[in-house]
Amino acid sequence: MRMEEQHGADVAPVVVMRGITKEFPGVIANQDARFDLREGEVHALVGENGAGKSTLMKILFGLYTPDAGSITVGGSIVRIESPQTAIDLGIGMVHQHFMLIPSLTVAENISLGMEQKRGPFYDLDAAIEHARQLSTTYGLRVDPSARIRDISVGERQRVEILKALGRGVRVLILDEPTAVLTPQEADELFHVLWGLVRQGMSIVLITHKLREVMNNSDRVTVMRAGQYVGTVDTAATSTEELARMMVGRDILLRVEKGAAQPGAVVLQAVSVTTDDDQGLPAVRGVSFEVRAGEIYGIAGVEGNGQSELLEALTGLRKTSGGSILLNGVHIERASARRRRELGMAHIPEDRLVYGSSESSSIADNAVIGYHYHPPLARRFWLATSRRARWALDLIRRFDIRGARPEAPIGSLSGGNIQKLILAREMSREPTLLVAAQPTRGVDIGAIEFFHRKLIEYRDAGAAILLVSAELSEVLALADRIGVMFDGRIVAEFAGEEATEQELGLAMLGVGDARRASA
Amino acid sequence: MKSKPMIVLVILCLLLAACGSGGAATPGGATTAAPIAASPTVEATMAASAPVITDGTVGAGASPTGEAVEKLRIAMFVNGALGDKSFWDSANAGVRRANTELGAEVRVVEGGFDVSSWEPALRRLAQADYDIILVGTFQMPDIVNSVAPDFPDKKFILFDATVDQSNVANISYAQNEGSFLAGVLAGCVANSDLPNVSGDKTVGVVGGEDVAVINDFVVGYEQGAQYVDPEMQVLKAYVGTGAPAYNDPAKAKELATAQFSDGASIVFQVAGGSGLGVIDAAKEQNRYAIGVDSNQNGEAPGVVLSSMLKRVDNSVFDLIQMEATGSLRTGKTYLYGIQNDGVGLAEDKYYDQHVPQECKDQVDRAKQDIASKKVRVKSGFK
Amino acid sequence: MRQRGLVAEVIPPVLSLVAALALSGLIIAALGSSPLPVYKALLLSPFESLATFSEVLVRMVPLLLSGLAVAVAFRCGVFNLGVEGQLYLGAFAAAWVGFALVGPGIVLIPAALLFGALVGAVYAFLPGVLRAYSGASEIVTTIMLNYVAINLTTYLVTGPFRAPNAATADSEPIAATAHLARFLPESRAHVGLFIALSLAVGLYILLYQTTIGYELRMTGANPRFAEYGGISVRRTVLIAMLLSGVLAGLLGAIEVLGVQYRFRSGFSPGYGFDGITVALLARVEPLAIPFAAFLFAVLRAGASIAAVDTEVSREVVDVLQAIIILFVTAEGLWSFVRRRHVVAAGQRG
Repeated sequence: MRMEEQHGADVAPVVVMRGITKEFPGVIANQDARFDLREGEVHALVGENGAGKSTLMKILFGLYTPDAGSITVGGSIVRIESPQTAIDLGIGMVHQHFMLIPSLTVAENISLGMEQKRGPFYDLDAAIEHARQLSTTYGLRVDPSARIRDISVGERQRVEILKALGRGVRVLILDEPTAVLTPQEADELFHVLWGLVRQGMSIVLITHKLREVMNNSDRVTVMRAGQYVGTVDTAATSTEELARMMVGRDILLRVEKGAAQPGAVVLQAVSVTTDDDQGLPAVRGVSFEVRAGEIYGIAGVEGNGQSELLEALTGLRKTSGGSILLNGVHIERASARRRRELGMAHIPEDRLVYGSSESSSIADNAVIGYHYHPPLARRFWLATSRRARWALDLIRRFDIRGARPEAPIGSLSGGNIQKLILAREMSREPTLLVAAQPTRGVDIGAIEFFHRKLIEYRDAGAAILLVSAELSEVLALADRIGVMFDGRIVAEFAGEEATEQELGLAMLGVGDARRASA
Repeated sequence: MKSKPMIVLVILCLLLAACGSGGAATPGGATTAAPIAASPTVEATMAASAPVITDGTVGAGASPTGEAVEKLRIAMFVNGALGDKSFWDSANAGVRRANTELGAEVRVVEGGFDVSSWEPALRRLAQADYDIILVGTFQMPDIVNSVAPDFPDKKFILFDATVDQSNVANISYAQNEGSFLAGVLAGCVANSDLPNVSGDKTVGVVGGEDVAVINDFVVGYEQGAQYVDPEMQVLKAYVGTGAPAYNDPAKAKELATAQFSDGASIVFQVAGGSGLGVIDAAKEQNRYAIGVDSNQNGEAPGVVLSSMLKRVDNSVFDLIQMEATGSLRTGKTYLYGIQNDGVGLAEDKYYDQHVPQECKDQVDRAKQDIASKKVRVKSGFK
Repeated sequence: MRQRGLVAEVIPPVLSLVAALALSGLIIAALGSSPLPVYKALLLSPFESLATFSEVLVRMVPLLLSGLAVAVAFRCGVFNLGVEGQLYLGAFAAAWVGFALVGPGIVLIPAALLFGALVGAVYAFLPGVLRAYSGASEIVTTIMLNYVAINLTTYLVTGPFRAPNAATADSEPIAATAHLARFLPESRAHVGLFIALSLAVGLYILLYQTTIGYELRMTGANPRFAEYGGISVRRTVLIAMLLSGVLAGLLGAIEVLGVQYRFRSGFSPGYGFDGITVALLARVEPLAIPFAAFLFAVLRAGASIAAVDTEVSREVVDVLQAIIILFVTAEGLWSFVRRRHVVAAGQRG
C-alpha cells in the first residue's frame, strides 16, 4: 500500500524530484527515489540511518550529482551542480555539522561569501546591521557581534539558518536539526520554523525521531534502503504506521534453518557500559549471553548503542563498567589480538573503516589478525608464498570473482570485499563470530550466500552474535533477539515468537514492549 | 604497483646519465668565466705599507710601475653569501678594487651554506683558469688543506685563518693591536672631561664568549686602557657560548648596563650581533661605547665614539697587488696589524666631532708606539 | 584496477622536467643570461668526469638515508619531520666515539655507527611516545625537537667538546681509523653509499617480508583496520619512529665518518627536510628512493658546479633547482595525495 499525493493537488509543488538514483562505490544510496515539496509546508523526511534521506537532500542541495533522475524547481527542470546553484534557486541547507568559522563573529559568518564592501574594505558595520535585520525579520535571536566559539549550539544553529535566509532561500533543508539540541532548544527551533512557514517558506526536516515528526510536520515522506516508501499527511498517520513504513515489510528472506542446538555459553556480557566518542554514555548496562550453536541477534534503530557495544565486545573501545567473558575468560580488558586468540572473530559494521584497507592488496587484507601466526608467518618472517596461496584459497572458496591476491582490495565491489572479510573471519574457525551488518550494501544473491554461511557455521557449533539494522535479517537468522534502545537491551524475544510489529515498537522505544527473558 | 615508480625513476636517471656522457664528449668542458668589466688602463697603486711576514722579514712593497701589469685572473670563494655588510662585503670590496685599480679579472663565487658542498666547489674553482684563489674564514682550513696540495701550480690566499701549505699565503689580523687602540681610547675617555663620564677609573668590555679569539680582543683592550692609566680598572663580561652568544642583544645590554652602573664610562663590544645591545645600554645610561668589526659610529653618534675595524678589504687588495708585482710569497702568513692598516679605529666625522683632542693624540701616539715596537701587545691566543 | 601503461607512467615526470626546464630557462633569459650553459652545468656537468660523478655519489648518501628515514615513518602514517634533529644528534654521537675512543677501525666504525643510530632512535622515540600515548601531533613535536637538537649539539662543540684552539664550533677530528674507506681514486666517495643502499634493500625486506613491516604498512594504510586486526597501533607507531630515528642517526654518523671527519655545528643543509621530497618523489617505495636520491644529488652537485662555472648568481641557481624539484616532485606528490585521498574517502564512506 503506497500512500502518495492523496491531498493538495491544488497546491503547486516547489520542488519535485523523480527517479533519483545515486550510487557510491559499493553502495546504492538512492534508487529511483522521489520527493515532493509544497510551498509553505514542513515536510518531514524520515527513515533509518542509511536509508538515503541525507543523500537525497544533498542531491537537492547540489552536493552530489545524481546518476539518474530529474529535479524540478518552481516548475522548470534544473541541473543543480553545486550548492551555489541550489542557493541561486532559493534552496538552502543546514547541515548536521555546522559549517561556521569559530573565530569569526556571527555577523561575519552570516555575510561570509557575500561580504559588503566599502571601497576595498570589508564593511563590518554593514554586516552587523544586515545580521540584526535578518534576526528581527525572522525572529531568530542572535548577537551579531558575538564570536561563534563563544555561543551555544542552539545559537549556532540559528546562525546557520540565518546564513541561509540571508541568501534569500525559500526552501530550507534541515538535516537532523534536533540531534544536537536540548528539548527546550528543540521546542524553540520548531517555533521559529513555523514562523518561517507562515512567511511562505518551505521546510524539509530530515529526522528519524517520530514523535518530533508527529508534532511538527504537515506531511511525511518515508524512505527505506535508498528507496521511496510513501508520503502521508501527518494528521492522517500514526507513529506505529510510520515505524512500520520505516522498518519495512518486505517479504522476509526465508532462510532454511533447523532448530538451534544451543550448547555451552560462549559469550557472556554482564552489565557492560561504555561511552561514545564524545564521552557520553552510549551503552548503559547491557547483559546477555550467546551460546554455542545459536545465533543471537541484536535489533535496534541505529545509533542506540549497538556500534559502541560491538566495539566494546571486540576490544576496539574501552568499557567503563561490567564484564565480558569469552569461554569463561574475562576479556573486558584484553586487547583485540588477545580476543582473537581466544577464539573471537569479527565482521565489522563498516567494511571500509575497520574491515579492510582499501589501498592494500587483497593478500594483505586476507591475513590481518592472523598475519603473525604460522602458517602465514614464521617468527618475524612473512611466509609470502603461503600467504598468496591462502588468499587464493579464500577467493576460491567464497567465490570472489575477479580477485587476484596482489590487486588492491579497493578494486573489488562492496559485496566482494564483504565476502573476503567473511572468508577471512571464518577461516580460523572461531568459537564466536561477531557479525555486524553483514549484508549491508550487498546484492540479493550475496545476501543469501551470507545467510547460508552463517547458518552453516552455527550448525557447526559456533556462537554467532548478529547485529543488523535490517529487521528482516535478524528475524530470519536469529534464534534469540535482543532489542537495543537508548543504550539498553529493552526486550528479548525468542526468534520464532517475535513479530515484526513487536520488534519495531521496541526498537523505537514506543509502546509497551513485552519483556521476555532478562 | 610498487615497482612502477622505481622503473620511472630508473628511466629518468638513465636519461640524465645518457645526456650527461654525451655532454662530456663535447670539448671545452668547463666554461670559462666572463671577466667583470675590467678596466686595464687604471694604474696599479702602491700599497700603503708592506705587511709584516711572521717569519720576521718584511714583504717587499709593490714597486710603482706606470704601465698596466699583466692581467691577473682572480677568483674568490665565499663560503656563505655576500651582503653581510661586514666581513664578506669588505673582502669583496678588496677584490673589486683589484679589478678597478689593477685591471685584474675578478670572479666571486658564493658557495652558500651547505658545508659539504664547499670542498667540491673550491676544487672546481681551482681546476678553472685562475691565478689566485682567495678563501676566507676559520671554517675553511680543513678544506684548503685538502684542496691546495692537489693544485701545486695554483696560488691560494687564505684570510682570517692559517694553514701550513706551500702554495697558500695566509692573512691574519692583529685584532689585539686594534683592540689596544680601543683600550687607549676608552682609558683616555674615562679620564677625560667629557660630560657623561662617571669619574671612576673604570671601563668595560662585553665579549661574545670566553674563547681565545675573543680574548685576543679583550687582552689588547685591557692592555691599552692600562697603558693610558695603570690604575684603570677593566670590567669584563661574556654573553654566553656558541652561535647564540653573537645574537643576543638583550643579554649584552644587561651586561653592559651592569658595567655602567659599576662605574664604567665606556664599554667596548666584541660580541657581533649582540653588540647592538651594548650600544643601546650606553644610550640609555648616558655613557659611551666602542663598536667592532665594521664602522658602527653612526649607530649612535656621540655615544659610539669609535669602532675597531678589521680591514679585510685592504689586506686582500694588498696581497693581490703583491702577486701582480710578483712579490707574493706563499707558505707564509701576512700579519695585518696597525702599521699596515689591517686593523684600526674608525676615525670618521663622528670621531672627529666627539672624541676629545687629547684622546685623539693619545691614540695616534699609541699607533706609533706599536708600529715602532715600543709597545708589544699581548695576544689572547697564548 | 586499470593498469596504466609504462609509457603513461613515464610521460608525466618527463613532462614535468621539461616544463621546469622551460620555466627556469625563461627566468635565466629574463635575467639576461643564456640558459644553455646553466642547464649544462646543472644537469650534465655532474657526469663529465669521475671526479664530478663521485661528488654526486657523496651527496646521494645523506639524501638516500634521509629519504628512507622519512619513508619508514610515512609508511606507518607518521610524519617524522625531526630527521634533521635526529641526524645532528646521531652525528655528534658518532663523532664522540671517533674522537674520544681509540681503536682499530673494525671496532671504532661499527661502534660509532651503532651509537649514532642509537642516539637518533632515542631522540625519535620521544615524539613517538608523545604521539602514541598523549596524541600530541608528531608534526609539531618533531619540528620543535629539531631546534633543541641543533642547538644542543652546537652547545656541545662550543662548550665541553670544543676542539682546543679551534676557531669554529667544531669537535676534535675523529681518529683516522674511524674514517670510512673511500672507493674511488681522488674522490670523497665513501663506502657509506653501500651501507645506505643496503639499508634501502633492508627496508624493502622489512616492509614486505616481515610481520613488523606488515603491521607498519597496515597501520599507515588504515589505522582503524590495523587496530581491528589486533595490531597495536601505538606499538607500531613507536617502532616506525624508532626505525626512522635509527636511519636518521646513521645518516649523521655516516656523514661524520665518511665526509666531515669531525662534528661541525650546522653541517646539514637541511638533509632531514630534503628526505621528505626524496621520499615523495619515490612514492615512498624503499627501492625507488636510491634513484630519487640520485636525481636530487645530481641537481645538488650541478648547482654547485653552476655557481662556479656560470655567471648566474647563486640565488638564481637555487631557484632553478627548486623549480625542477618542485615540478618533478609535484607529480609524485600528486599521486601520493591521490592515494591518501582515496583512503580517506573510504574511511568516511
